[in-house]
Amino acid sequence: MHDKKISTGLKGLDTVLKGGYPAASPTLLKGGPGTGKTVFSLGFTHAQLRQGGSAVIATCDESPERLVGYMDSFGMEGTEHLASGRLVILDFRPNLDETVVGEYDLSPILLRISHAIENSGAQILIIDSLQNLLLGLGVDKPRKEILELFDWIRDKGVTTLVTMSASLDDQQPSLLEEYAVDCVIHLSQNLDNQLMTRYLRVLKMRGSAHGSNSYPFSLTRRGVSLLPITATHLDGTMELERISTGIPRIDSMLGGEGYYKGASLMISGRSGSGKTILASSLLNQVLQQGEKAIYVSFEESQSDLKRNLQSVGIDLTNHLESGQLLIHSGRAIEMGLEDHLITIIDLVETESPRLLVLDPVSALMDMGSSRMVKMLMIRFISHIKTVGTTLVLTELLPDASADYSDLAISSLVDTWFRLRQVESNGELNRLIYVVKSRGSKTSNQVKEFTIGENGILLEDPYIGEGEVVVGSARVTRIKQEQEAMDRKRYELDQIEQALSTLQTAYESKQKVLGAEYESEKSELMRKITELKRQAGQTIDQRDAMRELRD
Amino acid sequence: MPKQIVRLYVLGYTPIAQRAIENLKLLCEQPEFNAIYDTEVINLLDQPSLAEEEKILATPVLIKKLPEPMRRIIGDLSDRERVLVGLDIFTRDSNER
Repeated sequence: MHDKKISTGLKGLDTVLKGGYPAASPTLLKGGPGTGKTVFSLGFTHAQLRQGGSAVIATCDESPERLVGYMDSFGMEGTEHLASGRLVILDFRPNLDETVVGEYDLSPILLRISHAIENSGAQILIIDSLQNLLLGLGVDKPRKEILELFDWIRDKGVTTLVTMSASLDDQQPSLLEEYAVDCVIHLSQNLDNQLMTRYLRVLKMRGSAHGSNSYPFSLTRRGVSLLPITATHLDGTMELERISTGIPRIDSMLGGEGYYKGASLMISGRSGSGKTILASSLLNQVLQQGEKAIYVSFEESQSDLKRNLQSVGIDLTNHLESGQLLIHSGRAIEMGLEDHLITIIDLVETESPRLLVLDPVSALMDMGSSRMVKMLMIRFISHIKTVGTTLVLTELLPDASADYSDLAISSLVDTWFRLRQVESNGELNRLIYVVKSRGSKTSNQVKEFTIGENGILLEDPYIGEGEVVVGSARVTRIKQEQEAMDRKRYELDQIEQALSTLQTAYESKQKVLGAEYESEKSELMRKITELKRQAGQTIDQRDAMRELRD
Repeated sequence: MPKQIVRLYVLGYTPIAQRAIENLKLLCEQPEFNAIYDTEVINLLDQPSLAEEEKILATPVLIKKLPEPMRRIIGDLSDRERVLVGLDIFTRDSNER
């Protein structure tokens, strides 16, 4: 019987309760005024109605009209459900013009509830609140009839949510908690640093495991939101797809292709180091690929941010108009950390963006004890990861700090950029380096960047003599090096020229020599021929004379 | 002037309900009451929707709608004087007189 649960209509609460409220038995929702008991019950009602079921609400403090009004304002379609007959609201508000004379019993309560449930076929029953019902009747302890009601609920197998206000002096568990119900949920509110946060705790759950911590929750436009605890298990799916940062040189610092899809990135730096601009570059890249994104700013209003980014060549106007980009601005001090995170998670769940920027996340960090903040951030970061949204956090480092990260969350992020400003030769130069990036071959180099009309531009710093030289010093060094190189090139030219001159000289001398050889040779040949001819003539004459004498 | 009707709602004839009916009968013998009111006993087990209509949380309950203002008296009506005060038949002043 107890292993069956019915969804509470609140995702986080279902996880805490390992599935939902115990089916076919009563659950007690206990909490002080303003802790949201009514909203919890309306959320449960709505979840049931949305699935096509029916519900009976016995209201003891609010009028039925107001309950329907609440549902409508939370987007739970109260009026429509009431008209369809699947939602029945019983008015159990006590009559103030009643006099009590003598003995009486409360059996009409059971009669009315059973009558309504049998007529409507409702699967769930809400009693809000039992305390008021009893107070109105001048009863201070649960009576026999109330216990009979719970027995009846169990008999009929109606899943029931009973709310009850918790009085401050009420340390002893009441008869109800000990005997009548199977599950007790305690709601409370805490004032911390002037900011109110609501908490939920499961005190008891018969025959079932349940989360036992105190979980923060928030009342939002859509009803109740509980900070999810789902993703405290490390079972996120593996993403291999990489997304470009939009700045090729930063991509190559991350091993060539950018960051992993759905990763969490942190950008740390002092004020003015370019965190917002780097974050916006990542944002703009995602927007240009036609994906959705949300920018949560705790420092700048939407129009300020838009104008400031326009000056560095990032124009968000079209993306804002098309609804592709949502800028959510708000001061950190408006509400508690839990409420902030819950609001952001709600935004992410309605919009399901590819990228979420929190600028700066450090604004949220001084909002509670560091241990609590870290715990919440772990839940938050891992939740965003399970949704598959890339999370970009910027961290403002205090000017007085030695550039150490204050946040204990750096170990939670996948990729961590550090931006620094180095003062030298009377100027501030911007540096960027990757502290870590899980699953990529990261560059160990510190790169210099400038912010210009076209956003972030990375330069190669001059590295020599064991130190990085940046800014104008870098320019000077480069110039010096250039000159030395130019000189060498000139020298080389000179030598090459000399070599070719030598060659030419050699060749021309060779020609002259060749010509001399040729002319001398032909002179000698001519002489040989002449001499041979003269010798031939002498023989001829001698022969002729011999013939004459004969 | 026609008499108004006060209704006693009970849920089954339990011992408390029976006591309330007895006490109501005794009340009807009072001339102050009898002059103005007729009475009617309704068992909600026969007409459960009336419990919803009248928003009844406890029984027995005696409901007087007219003359205004509406009055509801919960219980077995064992204290006749308090019932008459509750129905505005006796005011506290006249009671003292």
